[in-house]
Amino acid sequence: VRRVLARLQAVLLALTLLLVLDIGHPVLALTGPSGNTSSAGALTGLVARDGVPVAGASVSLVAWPTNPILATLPAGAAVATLPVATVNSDSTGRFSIQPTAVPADYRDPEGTTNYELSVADGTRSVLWNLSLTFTNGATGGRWTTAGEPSASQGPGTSLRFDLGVHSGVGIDLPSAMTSQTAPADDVVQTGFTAVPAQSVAPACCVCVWAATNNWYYNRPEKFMAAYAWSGAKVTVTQVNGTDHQLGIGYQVSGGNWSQSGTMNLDESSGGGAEVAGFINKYIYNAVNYRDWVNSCGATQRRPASTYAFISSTTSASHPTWSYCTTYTSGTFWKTSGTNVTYSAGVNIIVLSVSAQSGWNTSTKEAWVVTSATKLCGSTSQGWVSSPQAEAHQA
Amino acid sequence: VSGWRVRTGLAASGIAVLLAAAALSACGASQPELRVAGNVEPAGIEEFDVGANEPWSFLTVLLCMNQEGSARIENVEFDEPTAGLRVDAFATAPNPYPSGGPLNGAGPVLLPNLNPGYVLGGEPITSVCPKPGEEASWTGGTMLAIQVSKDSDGFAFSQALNVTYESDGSQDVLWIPFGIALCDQPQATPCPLPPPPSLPGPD
Repeated sequence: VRRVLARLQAVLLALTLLLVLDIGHPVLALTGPSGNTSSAGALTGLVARDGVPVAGASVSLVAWPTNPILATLPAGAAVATLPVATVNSDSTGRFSIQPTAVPADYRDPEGTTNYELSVADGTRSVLWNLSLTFTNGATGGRWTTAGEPSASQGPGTSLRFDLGVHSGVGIDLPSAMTSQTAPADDVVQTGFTAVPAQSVAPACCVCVWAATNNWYYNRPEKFMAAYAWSGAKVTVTQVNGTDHQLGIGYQVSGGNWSQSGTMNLDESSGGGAEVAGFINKYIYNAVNYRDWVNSCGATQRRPASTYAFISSTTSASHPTWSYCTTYTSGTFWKTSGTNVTYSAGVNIIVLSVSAQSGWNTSTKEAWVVTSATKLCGSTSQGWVSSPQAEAHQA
Repeated sequence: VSGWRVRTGLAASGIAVLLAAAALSACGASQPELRVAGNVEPAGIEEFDVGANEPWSFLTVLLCMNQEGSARIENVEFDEPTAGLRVDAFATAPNPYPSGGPLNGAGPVLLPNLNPGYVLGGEPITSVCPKPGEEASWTGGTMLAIQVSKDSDGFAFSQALNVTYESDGSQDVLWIPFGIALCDQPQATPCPLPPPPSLPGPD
C-alpha cells in the first residue's frame, strides 16, 4: 500500500509540475478505445423545419446489406435492413448518433457499411444515405465517412436536415475534401441538396424496402481526369477493391427525383483494368443501378454492381497549374481521383448524381514522360501532394 | 495534412521522465510532429537504364510541422528496399513551388547538382502545416530531396521512405508513401511495378 501511495504521490507531483510549467502544446482530442466496439466517430447534425431547429425529432440509422447479398434478392423480396441506433434531437435541434459494429452481411471487406439516416419530426421525414468505414488506428478505432482521407485529423461529416417546405440535407464534408482547387465541373458536394420529404412521417423502420426488376445497366461513371500531353501520356490502372462513392436517386410518391446521399460501391466484381495513352480525358467506369421501392411510396435508384472498368472517355479541357517540377524521363505515378467529387458523375436517366472514387490505393494515374515535361500540382504542395496534377510541355 | 509516425524511443530515461510522460498523456498534450504537407497518397517515380551504383537524385515531398516547434532530420532510408536500393544523401530547401522558377525534379546527378539552394543534411523544419482549407494558398513547407543508388544491375524498388527526425527531445519516424524504382531496362520495356501500399488507419 505504501508503494502505491508513494507512486500516486509522485504522479501527482509530476502532474502539478507540468501544470505549473507552460508546456505550450495543444491538447489532442481522444479518439476512443481500441477494438471493433469503439465509439469514436459519431455522426452529428442539426434538425430544422424551415430553418427553425426542431427538438425531439427522431433520427434513425439503418444499415443496408452488402451489394452481393442484395444481388441475390428477386423482385419483390424485402431488404433485411438493420436498425442500428435511434436518438432524438435535443432542445437546440442537434443530434449525435453513434454507429455500432454490424454483422458481416452489412459491411464490405474494407469495413464499410452503407447506411440510411432517417429524420422525422412527427409529420414529415427525410431520408439520406451515407457510408461509414470502421478502421483501427494506433490510438483506437474510429468511424469515418467513406471517402474521407484515412489519416484526416479534421472533423467528420456533419449533416443539416430541414423538414420544411424546401426540405433537404446540407452536408459539411471534412475540410480536406472541400478546399481543393478544381476545374469548374469538378464540383465538390457541399451545400444544401433538396430531398423530398414524405408527408406522412413513419416511425423508424416501418417502411420496408423491396427489390424490383428495374435495372439500369452500363451507366457511365466519371471518376478521373487525365491531364497530359503527347510527351507525357497517362496510364490509368484500376484493380479489384476500388471503392467509389456514388449518388443514390430518390423519389417520393411519383414526384421529382433528387439525390439522397451516396453509397459505397465496392467495385470488385471485375479483374481490374489498365489502359495507356490518355491525353486530356475524363475517364469513366460503367456501373449498374437498380430500383428499390418501399411500402411508404418511395423509390431509391442505387448503385448495384460494376459493368466495366475504364469503359469510356470524354474530352477534358486542360487546366494549367503553376506549381511545377520538370522531368525529362521516367514514369510518375500517383493514386488519384480521391479528392474530387464529380457532382454529375453518373447519369441514372432521371437525374445525374455524384461520383467520387474511394480513398484507397487501387486507382493509379501514371504519366509516362518521353519529352521534357512540367508536372504540376493544383496546390503549392506540388504534384505529389496536391489533389490533382497535370502535365504539359516544359 | 497528415502523415504517420512510429515512436521509436524516448530521448531520456528515468522515473521522472516516465512520470512526466504519463502525466502528459493524461493531460492529452502532444509533441510537435513532422508531417507531409497536403495529401498523403502513394506516389512515386520510376527511372530507366539505371545501372549499379549510378547516382540519381529526386525531389520528394514537402514537409511541415503539425504545430509550433521544429524537427531536425537525422536519417532518410527506404522502407523494405529491394536490390540494395539505398539513400546516399538527403537535403532540404524552402518550398520551391511558389517562386515558379525552373526546378528539376529528378536527374542522374549528385544531389548538389540537381537544384541550387539545397542544404545537404537538411536544416531544421519549423514551418507549420496549412490549416484545413488553406492548402491551396499555403506557401510554407520544406522540400526533401534525396540521392539514391542501388548495388546491383537489377530492378530496385521501395514503396516508401522512413524519415527519422528529432523534435523536442524525442526521436520519431515519419513514414512517407513515396516510392522510387530504378529499372535496368529501357523505358520502352519498363520493369513491372508492384501495387502501391495500403495506407494505415487513422492515428
